[in-house]
Amino acid sequence: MRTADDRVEATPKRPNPGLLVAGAAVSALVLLPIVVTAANAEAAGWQLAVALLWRPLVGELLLNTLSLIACVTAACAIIGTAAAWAVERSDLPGRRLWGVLVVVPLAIPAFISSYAWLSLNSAFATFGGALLVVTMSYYPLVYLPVAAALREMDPALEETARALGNNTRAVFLRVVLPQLRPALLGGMLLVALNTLVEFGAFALLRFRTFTTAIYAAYQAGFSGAEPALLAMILITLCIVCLAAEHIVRGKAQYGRVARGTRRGAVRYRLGPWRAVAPAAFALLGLVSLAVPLGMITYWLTQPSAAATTVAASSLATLGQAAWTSVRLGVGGAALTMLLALPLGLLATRYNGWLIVLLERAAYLAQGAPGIVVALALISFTVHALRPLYQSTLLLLLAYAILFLPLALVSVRAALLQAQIRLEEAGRSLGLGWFAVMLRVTLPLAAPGLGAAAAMVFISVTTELTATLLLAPIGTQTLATQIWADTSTVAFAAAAPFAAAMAMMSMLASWLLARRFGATSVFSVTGEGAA
Amino acid sequence: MANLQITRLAKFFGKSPVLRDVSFSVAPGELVAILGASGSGKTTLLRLIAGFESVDGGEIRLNDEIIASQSVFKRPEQRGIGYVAQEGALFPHLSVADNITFGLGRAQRKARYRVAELLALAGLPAHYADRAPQQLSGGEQQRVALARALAPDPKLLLLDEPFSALDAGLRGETRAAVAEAIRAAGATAILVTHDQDEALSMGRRVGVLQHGTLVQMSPPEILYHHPVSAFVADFVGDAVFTPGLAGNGKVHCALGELCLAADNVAGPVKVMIRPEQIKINADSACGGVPAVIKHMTFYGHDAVVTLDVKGALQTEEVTARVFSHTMPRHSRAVWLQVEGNVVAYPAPVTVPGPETVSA
Repeated sequence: MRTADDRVEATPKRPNPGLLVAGAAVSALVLLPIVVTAANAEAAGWQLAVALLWRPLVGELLLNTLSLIACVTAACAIIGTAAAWAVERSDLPGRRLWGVLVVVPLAIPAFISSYAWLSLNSAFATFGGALLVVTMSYYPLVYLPVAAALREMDPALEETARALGNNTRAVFLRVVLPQLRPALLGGMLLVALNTLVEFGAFALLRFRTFTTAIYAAYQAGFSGAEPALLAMILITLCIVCLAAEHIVRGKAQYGRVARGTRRGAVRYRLGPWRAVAPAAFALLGLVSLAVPLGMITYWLTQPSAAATTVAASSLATLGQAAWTSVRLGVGGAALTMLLALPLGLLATRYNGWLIVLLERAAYLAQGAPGIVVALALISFTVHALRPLYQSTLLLLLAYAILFLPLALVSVRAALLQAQIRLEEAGRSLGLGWFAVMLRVTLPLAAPGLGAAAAMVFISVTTELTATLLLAPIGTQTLATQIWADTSTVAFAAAAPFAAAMAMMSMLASWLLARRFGATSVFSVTGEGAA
Repeated sequence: MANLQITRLAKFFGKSPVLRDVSFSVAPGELVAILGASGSGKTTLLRLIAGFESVDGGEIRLNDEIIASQSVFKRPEQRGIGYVAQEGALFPHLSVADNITFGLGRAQRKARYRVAELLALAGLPAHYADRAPQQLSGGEQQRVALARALAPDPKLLLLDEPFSALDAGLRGETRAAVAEAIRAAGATAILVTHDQDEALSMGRRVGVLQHGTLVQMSPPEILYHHPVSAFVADFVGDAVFTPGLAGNGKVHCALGELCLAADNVAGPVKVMIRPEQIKINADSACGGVPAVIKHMTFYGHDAVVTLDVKGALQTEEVTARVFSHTMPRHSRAVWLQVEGNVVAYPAPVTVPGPETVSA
């Protein structure tokens, strides 16, 4: 995605010092949670750290987390690749419809589907249940890049392999699959990262992973040391995923050896499977979409008294929670964009090791999951910035830290749209730096920036963990309401909130996809939800 | 080595015919070039032979075995037909050596069977074996693609515009190397192209496809000097067309009385003369019909001279191609002579007008 030559090749000018300071401040801000967590962990001292980490609990967490990740990633790889191949490369009946349906689960947060499955049967609160819910939520992260790679592949390669004596299966194994490897691996690593940082779904399904254990340790009121130490392990795992993804992405772009016009992709006849394949897709749609949405609908029709209710749902509380979610979404998107812009400008307009460093730092922040960011911010404000504690601003800052890497990818792409020579033309016509920014750069980048803001908005409204921990007392969002109701098994009470959130997320994603293409939605959940 | 026989081949895309009634055969060891404009169906023809598409009529026989007809479809991987795609289509995830041995069995792949030999055949140094395709130039990629297609010893080799993506300098060089490699391998081959020079220089026979129909297939010199129609004449090279009146193996036109290559037409005709057949004399002593130079275009080794000739009814414009050192320099008034025989096509009687076409 990022290559050396999309950086400006023109003479490197000295960046505006104000911009540089702003960029440095933003990078420092997004790294703050990791630094605070590390400091808290360090404060425990060696002896305590070893005692806390060398426990069966940590082993169990590692085993749980890693085995789940292995299974989820493998399942997503198989389902995502098979679905992508069928949609892009076979004569599957109704493939356009299926192509849309398989992406929709991305718009339904995993903790909503886990609520739906759990309310269907509490037996889903197991490893198998967690595997099912997370796989169904994240397999589109494999589907989208693999489908794109299949679309881009030169059909002449497959034809040539046929002419060299390979049958369809051999062609897939020897030619198609090796070329899918970068897309497939990249997608699998995103799945692994998302599984690592997932909190809500696992908490509801009573499946113990690092995120839920950190939350439990925090709730138990231990000193900052235990959650911080667990968080450090989680951060390390996340950064391993990020680094692997970075390597895969950088290394793997085979590209096409040759360029030029070519025919559309080769489509294979499914033969006898043609009747079976739609049934498989229907099953996938049933499990990934129909059950979650169906269960929400079912509980909507049940009187909320049918379940013991903590937060009695009424139209008024629903409206209020939705309005709070929207307000926080808009605020979070605005703040994130404000912070992403200076970094984006630096990264696309100037060269130099300092700028590369600042940008890398911002991407590294993805290594801190929502729970880690929230706890770090709590600890930091309680100790150093008391007035910010329990404030809406702090919550917005948490959103900005969580979703800045996501926004930065799009901001960067958008700013590259506004070519530097157009800015130079503006300068030569007598406009100052700031005037050029206002009258040339921002208007040209506006659509892309809009998309970035929309993505952050969707991510914020469906975010659970940080909201739960940082929302000022009395602030209820859709996510916190669903959480409050489902954790007390008040499924019917949670239904209106879950329905509102699913509707909002799917509507916004649909608008985004219609305006900017399916891949834009991909990046939403690809890096965000936690 | 094998012979290929194509009989009354037809292919439709939806309802529109892409190929109609195409019949020809290729003898063992022969290289046949198929020349056609884009949309003429030439690539479709190749894909039918390779087995990437199924035929809608007629049949294809390889060594007397039917490999494709309406009822028979042999899978491409079972046909033993090599295929070199437009841009080589090297597998980007494999080294040059692995690309070349791709079509061989596992043991031979491991042993890098014939890699050095095939690289040499394709005119590439042996140390290219470990390079990635991305490190090769376009021409080198094409040569590797050829080596890869030849490695399993195919019965027939198909080349789909293999040089079209190369720039002019590289094209000639690669063309020569490929032609030599095919000759050395003794392969039977079909080359499809839209480039006249390529078809004429590489094919032992050249076929012209026009809107899905094979209008002529002949050795290159016959195709060039005796095209069966004005379309073919114009398509395979530059041509001057001028109206005339034919009879008794001769034709009268603005350029005088000329000999016909074949005495098969009489009455009003369209005369086809190649620009290089027209000789320009600087003075009347050498004979010829008078003409006036309008302008000249210099190309280095040769030059194209546009002239006005007084015809029976009106002034006609003709073009002559001369070696650049023989370009007339002193006077605009010159005399034209036509060397060799010309070809004439029956022309509907219409008002004769000037007609000069250069392809």
